[in-house]
Amino acid sequence: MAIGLLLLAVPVRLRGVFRWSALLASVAQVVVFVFLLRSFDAAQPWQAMEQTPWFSIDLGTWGKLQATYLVAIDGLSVGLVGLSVLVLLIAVGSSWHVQENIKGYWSLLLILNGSIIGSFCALDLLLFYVFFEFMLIPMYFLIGIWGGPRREYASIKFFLYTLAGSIFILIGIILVYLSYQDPTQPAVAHTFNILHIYQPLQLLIDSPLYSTDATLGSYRGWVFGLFFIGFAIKLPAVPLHTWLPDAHVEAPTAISVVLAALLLKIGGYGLIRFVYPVLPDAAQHFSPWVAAVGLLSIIYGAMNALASKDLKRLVAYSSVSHMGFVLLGLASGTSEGTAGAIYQMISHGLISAMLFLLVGVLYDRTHDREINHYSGLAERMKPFTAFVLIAFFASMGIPGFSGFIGELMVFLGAFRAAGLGAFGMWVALAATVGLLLGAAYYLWTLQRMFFGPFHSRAGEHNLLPLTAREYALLLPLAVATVVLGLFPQLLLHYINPFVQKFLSAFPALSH
Amino acid sequence: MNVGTFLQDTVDGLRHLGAEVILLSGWVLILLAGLIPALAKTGVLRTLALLTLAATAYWVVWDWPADTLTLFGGLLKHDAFGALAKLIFCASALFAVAITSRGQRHSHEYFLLLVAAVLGGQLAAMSTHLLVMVLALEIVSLCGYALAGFAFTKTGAEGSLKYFIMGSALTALMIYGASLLYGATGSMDFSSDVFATGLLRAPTSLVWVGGLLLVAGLLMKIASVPFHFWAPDAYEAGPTPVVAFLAVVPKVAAMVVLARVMWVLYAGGEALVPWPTILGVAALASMVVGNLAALGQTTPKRLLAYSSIAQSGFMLAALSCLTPGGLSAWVFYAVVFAAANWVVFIALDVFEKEHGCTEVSSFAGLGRQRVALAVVLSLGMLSLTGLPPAGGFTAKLLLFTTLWGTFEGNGEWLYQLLFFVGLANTVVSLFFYLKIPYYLFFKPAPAAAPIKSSRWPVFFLTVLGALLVAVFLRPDALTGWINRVTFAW
Repeated sequence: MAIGLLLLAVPVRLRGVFRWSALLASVAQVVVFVFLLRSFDAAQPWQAMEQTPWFSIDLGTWGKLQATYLVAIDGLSVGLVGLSVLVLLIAVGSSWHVQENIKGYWSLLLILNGSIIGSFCALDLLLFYVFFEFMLIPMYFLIGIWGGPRREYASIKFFLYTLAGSIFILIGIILVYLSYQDPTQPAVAHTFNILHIYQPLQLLIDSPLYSTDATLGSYRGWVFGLFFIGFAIKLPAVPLHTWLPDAHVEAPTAISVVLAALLLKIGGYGLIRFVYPVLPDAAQHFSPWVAAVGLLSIIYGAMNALASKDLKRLVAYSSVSHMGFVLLGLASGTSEGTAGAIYQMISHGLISAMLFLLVGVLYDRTHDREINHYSGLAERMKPFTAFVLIAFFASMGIPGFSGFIGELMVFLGAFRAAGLGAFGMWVALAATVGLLLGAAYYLWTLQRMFFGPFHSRAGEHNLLPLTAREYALLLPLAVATVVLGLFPQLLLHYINPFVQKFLSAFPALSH
Repeated sequence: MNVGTFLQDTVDGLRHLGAEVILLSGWVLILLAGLIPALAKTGVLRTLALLTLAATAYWVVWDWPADTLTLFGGLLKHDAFGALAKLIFCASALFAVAITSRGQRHSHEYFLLLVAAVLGGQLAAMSTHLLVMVLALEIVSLCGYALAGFAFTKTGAEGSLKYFIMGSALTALMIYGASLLYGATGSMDFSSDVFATGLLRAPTSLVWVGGLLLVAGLLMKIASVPFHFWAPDAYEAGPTPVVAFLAVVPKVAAMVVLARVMWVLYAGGEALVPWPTILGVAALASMVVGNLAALGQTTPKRLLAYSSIAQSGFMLAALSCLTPGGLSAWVFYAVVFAAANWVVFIALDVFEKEHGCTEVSSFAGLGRQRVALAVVLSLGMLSLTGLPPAGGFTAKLLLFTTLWGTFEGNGEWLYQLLFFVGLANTVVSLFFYLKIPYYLFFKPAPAAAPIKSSRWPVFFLTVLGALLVAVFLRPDALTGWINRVTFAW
């Protein structure tokens, strides 16, 4: 089934009607996903698994280097895959009017599509890494060719940051690989297969990771550090976030949407899927640091957002701030916190997609994103303002929207966090400052742009009403945000069994 | 040994020298054809050269050695390791001949030199005898010096001369080193027991000096730091097919020899001289110097010259393990490198001939005119960097896994250092490998020039590009083949 998702995503080079084939592929993905969801049972561990050997290289005396094409979904990835198929469909819709170099654009978008879903499904470390790297190249070209005025700078910065991160991840993967054996061929083959790596029994004695020491000086400690830096660049966490505002601001609307809603999530997903379960002791050892980085991202992102003059840059910094909550939730090591982190990822995916679409709507009309160039938009563009209100309030974390649930759970987790002790409480209190700042920058923007007497530097004749296509893109996101805000159980139903299993790894290995 | 067995031995040896016999006959045919005015046309000579090389490659595959055979009483060795290298040489020469332009001056001599270089490479890949080794490598080098000047320009002559002077000086050192080793051991056949036991009995200082001089000569041929100064000038001024040929054939030939010699000198770890460290340091220096110097280059060929120095570093890193695993990683890397190198050079050649691109900046905007060509060129560059979806990724993965495994096996921090420096270099190399794709796709085109496409390059690029992706998708097909190579000699 999941392989079907992937194959659907890659029929690239069809001539002629690229838009329609892309749309068809994306709709088909959604349909496949809906069928998948109907047969999905939250209590079962892995579902829709596809497994074929990928390659196996005989290294003579050293056994084998082998990798498997192994994909499946569970409670963690089901939500993210769902988010992906929705957002990717919306990205297709929002790039409908791309004029330049159509063939290249749609091909790259579909490659990106396939590798995103692949990353969320892959259970083989090498396969994951390949999908992860594979996202870089289409993204680099999508930003660099179809982006804004400073696109070249932004795309190369994005590429280098992420590549540097992925080299860290690669080092980590090689060390993990060399430390675990394949239970079906013990003593012959190491394994990339994460299902094998999850079993502590397969850890080879005398391998780098075989140690009870998880502090900074030990292998376990620095492998965790390498993974963490790699994924924190992707997430992004302050101080490794500087690629993000540039990439977001310069990328075309659809690509900003995909970048914010999906690529950032792969950072969090990678931590939850591959790093925390494999190195739980190191994760616990470093949790105050992770929490501190999360807190720094929350506050620093929000303060930058407050100071932004460009609407898109504001939204980009708000993403940094919101992804900080994911780290905070993870660091708490409690079920609320972890579930909240996952919830926050999905909810932020919906909300940020909506925010970037709205910025795109305005930019398409006026080619101007300076906040100070507008005022009183509310009286000219009523439906647009309504959507902006929904998105802003959802992003602020007002009860009734999905953002509230995620952040609330993260706070609950951080307050209760056993591993963090009193520090956790202070971190949580400090993080509320981030919420206040969030409210401040959104409300201030609302006041400056939408209320007061009407003014637009770009003139008013081009402030056309929303088109049917734009409605079609925004409505599902708004509805999903509200539904997930009112009925969190819909999603928690899938997340909770996963979180229980996820956390069960922790006390077993520590103390 | 009496005369009877000696003759028998020679006859037996000739049987496995079929590939070389074919090459030599082809060479003579080209020589004769070039003397007959009616046949002395580039097209005819090219066809002859292509047929010769194809027949040689066919013979190599047909006579694939099942196990190791010693020929001519220890002069040559017929084994799969050498046969694999021979295939790389034949394929490289095929590409070089095929993309040579019609207007190549002195095409008669040009094709003769190319075929002769392959012959030298093949003998070098088989050699287990110091004298044969030196002679065979010199055939390759002499042809290389001459070929490097085949653009017949002033800079071409300069590059060729630099290559020649540096090459001959180090060859002299190499011969001196070989003679010292001969004196120390009493045998020229370095695969023999006499040589191996002689090494252990000889004074260490003699082995140090002799071995170092020998290694220095070989390092020069693979353009490794500190003997790399000739490469940028020779690459920049030579004709593109020749440059691509020089980036693969002498390099691989010298590395095969290096592997064989080192294997003996290292003696499974009993040697008193730290050979792996020497190779490892050269590898480190090549990676770092090559990559850093490539960052600032503005012409594609100079850029690739430094890139090839860095790639030599990666391959030397694999060799420096001196384990069967390291050699498998090396073979894999070398095959992928050769393919990626050809992809890049063939595409560059097309851009150079049809769009006049000799500066990195002159590629601006051509990606929109020549989409397929630009995509394949970018694929080649990605493979050299070591990113998916190209074989270079798998090759680097195998290399780094091997390096870490070697570190775990013997605890030498050298391999750990190579591992980290290699990975850091991979990131650095992205800067310059993406430079040309960046201009191709991101910069606006100045003006659209008329396009006249040729068929051959497109065909080769399709095949090689598909090969690169295939190696990425199914690396075991290639390794299955490599695993039939035995590394015992």
